Amino acid sequence: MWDARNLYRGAVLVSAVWLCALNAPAKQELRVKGKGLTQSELSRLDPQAESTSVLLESVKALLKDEQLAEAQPFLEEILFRLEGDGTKEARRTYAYSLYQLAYCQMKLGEYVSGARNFVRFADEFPDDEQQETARLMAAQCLTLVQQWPAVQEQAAAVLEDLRLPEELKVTATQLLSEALYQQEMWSEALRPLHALFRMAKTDTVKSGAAVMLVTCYVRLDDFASLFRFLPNCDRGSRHDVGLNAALLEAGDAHYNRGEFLKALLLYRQVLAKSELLAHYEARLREVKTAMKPFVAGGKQTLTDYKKLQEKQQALFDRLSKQYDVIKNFQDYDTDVLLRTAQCYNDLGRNWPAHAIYHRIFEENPSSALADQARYSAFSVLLDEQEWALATAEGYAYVEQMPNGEFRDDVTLNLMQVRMQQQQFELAYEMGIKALELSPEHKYIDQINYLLGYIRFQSLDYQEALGRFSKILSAWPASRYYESAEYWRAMTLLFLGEFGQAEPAFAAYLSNPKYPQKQFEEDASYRLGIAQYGLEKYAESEKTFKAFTAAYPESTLLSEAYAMLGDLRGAEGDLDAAIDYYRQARRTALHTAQVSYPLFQEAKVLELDKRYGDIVELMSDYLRDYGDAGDFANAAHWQGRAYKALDEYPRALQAYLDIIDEFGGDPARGGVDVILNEIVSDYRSEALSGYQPIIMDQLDQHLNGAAEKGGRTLVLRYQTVFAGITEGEEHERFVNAVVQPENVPASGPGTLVLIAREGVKRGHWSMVHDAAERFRTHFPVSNNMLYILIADLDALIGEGRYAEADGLGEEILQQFGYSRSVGYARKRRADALRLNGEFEKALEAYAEVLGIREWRGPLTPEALYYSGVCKMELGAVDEAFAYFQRIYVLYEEYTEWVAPAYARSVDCMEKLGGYDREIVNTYREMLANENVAATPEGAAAARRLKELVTAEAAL
Amino acid sequence: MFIVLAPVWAAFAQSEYAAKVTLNTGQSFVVPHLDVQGERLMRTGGTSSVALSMVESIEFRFTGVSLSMCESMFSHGDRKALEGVLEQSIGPAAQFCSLPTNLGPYLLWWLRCQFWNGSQAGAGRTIGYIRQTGRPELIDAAGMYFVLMLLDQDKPENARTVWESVADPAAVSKPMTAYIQGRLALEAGDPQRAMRYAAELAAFYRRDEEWMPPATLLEAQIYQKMGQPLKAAAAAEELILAYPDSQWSEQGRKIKMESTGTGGG
Repeated sequence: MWDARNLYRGAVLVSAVWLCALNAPAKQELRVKGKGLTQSELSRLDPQAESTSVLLESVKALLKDEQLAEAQPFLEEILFRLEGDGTKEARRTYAYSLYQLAYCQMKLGEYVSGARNFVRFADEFPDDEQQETARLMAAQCLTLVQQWPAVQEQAAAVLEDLRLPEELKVTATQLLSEALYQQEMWSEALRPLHALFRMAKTDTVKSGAAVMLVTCYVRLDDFASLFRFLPNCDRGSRHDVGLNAALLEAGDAHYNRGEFLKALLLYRQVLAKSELLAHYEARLREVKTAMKPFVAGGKQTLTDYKKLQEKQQALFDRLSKQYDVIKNFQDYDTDVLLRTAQCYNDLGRNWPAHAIYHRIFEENPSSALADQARYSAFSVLLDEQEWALATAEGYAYVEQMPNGEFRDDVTLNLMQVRMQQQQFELAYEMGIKALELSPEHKYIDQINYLLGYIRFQSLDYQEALGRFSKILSAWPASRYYESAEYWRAMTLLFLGEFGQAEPAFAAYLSNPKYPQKQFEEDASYRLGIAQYGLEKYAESEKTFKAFTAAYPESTLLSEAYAMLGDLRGAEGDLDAAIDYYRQARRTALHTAQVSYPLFQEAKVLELDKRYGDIVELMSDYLRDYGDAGDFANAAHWQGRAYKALDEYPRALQAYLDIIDEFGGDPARGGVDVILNEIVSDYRSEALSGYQPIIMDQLDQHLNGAAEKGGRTLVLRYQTVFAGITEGEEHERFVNAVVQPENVPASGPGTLVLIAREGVKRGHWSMVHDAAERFRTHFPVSNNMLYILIADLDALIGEGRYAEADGLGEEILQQFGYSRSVGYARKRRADALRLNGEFEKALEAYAEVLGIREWRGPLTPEALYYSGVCKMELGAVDEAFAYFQRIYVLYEEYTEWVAPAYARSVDCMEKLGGYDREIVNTYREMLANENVAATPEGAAAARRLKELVTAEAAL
Repeated sequence: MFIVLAPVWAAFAQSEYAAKVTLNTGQSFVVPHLDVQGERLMRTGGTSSVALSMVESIEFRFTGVSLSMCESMFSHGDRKALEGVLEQSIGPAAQFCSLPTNLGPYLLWWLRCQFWNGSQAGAGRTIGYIRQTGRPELIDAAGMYFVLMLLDQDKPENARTVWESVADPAAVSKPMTAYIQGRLALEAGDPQRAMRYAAELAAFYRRDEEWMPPATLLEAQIYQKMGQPLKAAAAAEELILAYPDSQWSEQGRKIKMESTGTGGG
């Protein structure tokens, strides 16, 4: 920031300039009168001894020679001698001497004495033609000693003369204006300043008046007059550096008072550096052009020429000085723009602020202020809650100014914005980048805390634990210490490290460091959970009881009662358990808090064989919550209770009622859970007697749905039929369901059928459509893995191996090493193999072979294709070993044993010298009846026959 | 040649204009007013005439009006007075705008005054005159004012059609272009884009006397559309304070009243 104050002062304090201008005529008048005196002449003169006429002559000579100090004693002596002499001549001499004495005093810097004598002169000789000049001289002397009331008095007295010559009028108005201005009589100063601005003949005076007028308006808060005045300011004044500095300073003053709009309007009026420079350059050229060489014989005398030249030179020097001042202001425009933008920002008008900040750093990327502007552009968008734009701006800052002053603020803010937008992974990336860019980050504790929190949300408890623990050990004074302590305990709880979680929660709850614990309520509940996990049931029950007593308004109250129900139920105290579950439901704040104790209560009722109560409980629940509750589980419990009562038809009816009620909406995945239950019942040995009833009921409901035109429900029933029928009937239902146009109306179960059957039929686009719909509408369904596997099969079927590889990786990340993932990973290996990436395929098959959970049917297949890959890579002996392992170790998997034999023979043929072993291998192969029945077996029999025949011939 | 003609110019000082006619041959003469009959330009007294096809240029000079004066009066906000002056001086000559004259820039000043003074009928007529000059840059400028007139008349579709016909709006005026784009974006229901244009004016043309006040008004209106009444009031307050006794302060008061229930300045 540059300080406008010096410039402003330079422009406003114009008195000195005015004074010099006024002195010139007085000097001129005096110089022509005397011849001057030498030092030896002076030494021979004694003022008190000489006659008055000699004194007078000496004075004139001395004044002519500017020997002002020497003239003073002579003038004082004259005044002393003539004091009280009323003759006309004496009065004239007295007047002359008094005026000259005042003049000498003024010139010698004795302003107070000079002013006093000028005033004395004017008062004593009111009819003297010099009277007004004397008052103005007095006023000027008083200006220099800043006796502004006296200046005002003298100038005002002069202006009372209505016939005052124009030149004196301007000077008097100047003096009066400045006197009022300096006394901060803003309102009173306006009139003379306006008059002065109108009358002034020189730029200096005009600009000075303009500056003071602007200041008066600003101080009077009269923006209406200010904005009327400014457009009418002539170019010279408007471009005066002093005026612009005054605007800037006035802007600052208002800004500091919190008057941002006024500050904005004042800053906006400040002209740009280029405009000021252009104006000053033009003025300097004009003045220079006017300073022409003297031409003898013209209208102008040499004296007049020199006088004018001096005046022009003075003007040139003054303009040059101001020009240099402007030119040397670094970042002048940027600074004005920054202030303007800041005002907009403080007014909440963030868009203009942003546009200005943007302009600053776009136009001045190397300016010292560009960094601040770039950061501000980011922060105003945050203020405006324009998250997408703010994020883009923030990332651009980090990218382009990795060492910027505000880097730490930007990275932290970006992280928080990402979190606010629920983009936790992106927030995490930014946090990591923040620490990479700035290992000593200004907010290192906060960044670590947020990183820990994000990892916790992403279920990555190990890293979360590390982050929270680091805050506790490295930054004990951090404001995030308490949060870190609580979240560390939570992380331990979620890791199942109950042994550490319990003391961690206890330590947090007893930590005297926090006057008011922000997580006290939650931690009190979690402590009970940790104790429960440690099987400290008595302590856990005590903790939950204490919690329910201490926090009757808690959002966790219902859950605490549910936990107490579980604890009592585990002790066999079923009535107490049921009581707690009912309290849990009464205090529930949302459906989930109702559902958990409800189904827990059902379990207790089941232990008590109170099946009728279960049916009633579930009926009430379904009535009260309908599809907002867990209707699938309720149906399950109803069915289970009826089955226990040996009333399966009522169970089936309960299922079908719920399916009919909610099954028309494909989004309700719970319907498919009930349908699966029916399929399971149909296949159950215990309920096999009810198969005709089930078929009949399903048929009736399918027809009912078809009559009502419920396409989704029809598809659901058809999907069930496809699951329980066989042969042509099965094909008929599959054909009805597996159609591309059914995808949009299908629920999750139907989509799985479509996708799986679509793979069999090679209808890849339908499979992808089904998978896409599934991913979009049922992201948490249990069937997700199956649909993704179908999608993976389709990609491989289409030859889109790279995408298949990617999906294979996604499946692993999403589902881990669960048993069903093995097939997906094997398919990924297939994709790599089919893509000719045999080395990678081998690694992928090795993964399948290495995971214990995946051992089984996948193993011989993975071994077989590992052998195939080795063959492709030319490692025939290694391939041979793979094939051998299959028929040695996995004999029951005929579909792999048969080709493995065949491939083994291929290997031996390639290796050479294994003729006998080949014959033996064929014989061994054909000894296995199952293998002999395969196409490979048939081929082997033919080949063996040829070999034996050939051998016999030999 | 001009020295000889100078007294002739002086002789016409009392009339609204005089016109110096230059022929293809290089000859020129001054007439106190143009008299065009059919395809011929009649010389003073009607005793002789020249074919219009022989006229290379006609330079009008108007009593008491110059382009620099237009600029000065316009920027000082004396738009009513300037419109009156131009009506009086340019009006009688405007009918000759299809000839190769120097009327174009005067007509544009006239149009600008008419537009801002709300003289819709006059502005429509002047746009017609400007189109007849055949000068693309002036036609573009007139088209841009026409766009704004149509927007003020709540005819956004027509405005958009006219806007699309403007060949090079930025060459006419960048701030005006930004302002029109802002208005069109707001009309199209995209207040965020509109705001970017309004903000661009604040960033790059902060002392533009013609476009800064409407841009501030636009900013206030956009905030209203965005449901941010306090910000709308803040922008309106600027109109009240910075442009006293003008249509801008009036509109500012109206918006402030709508936004906060009080319209005081």
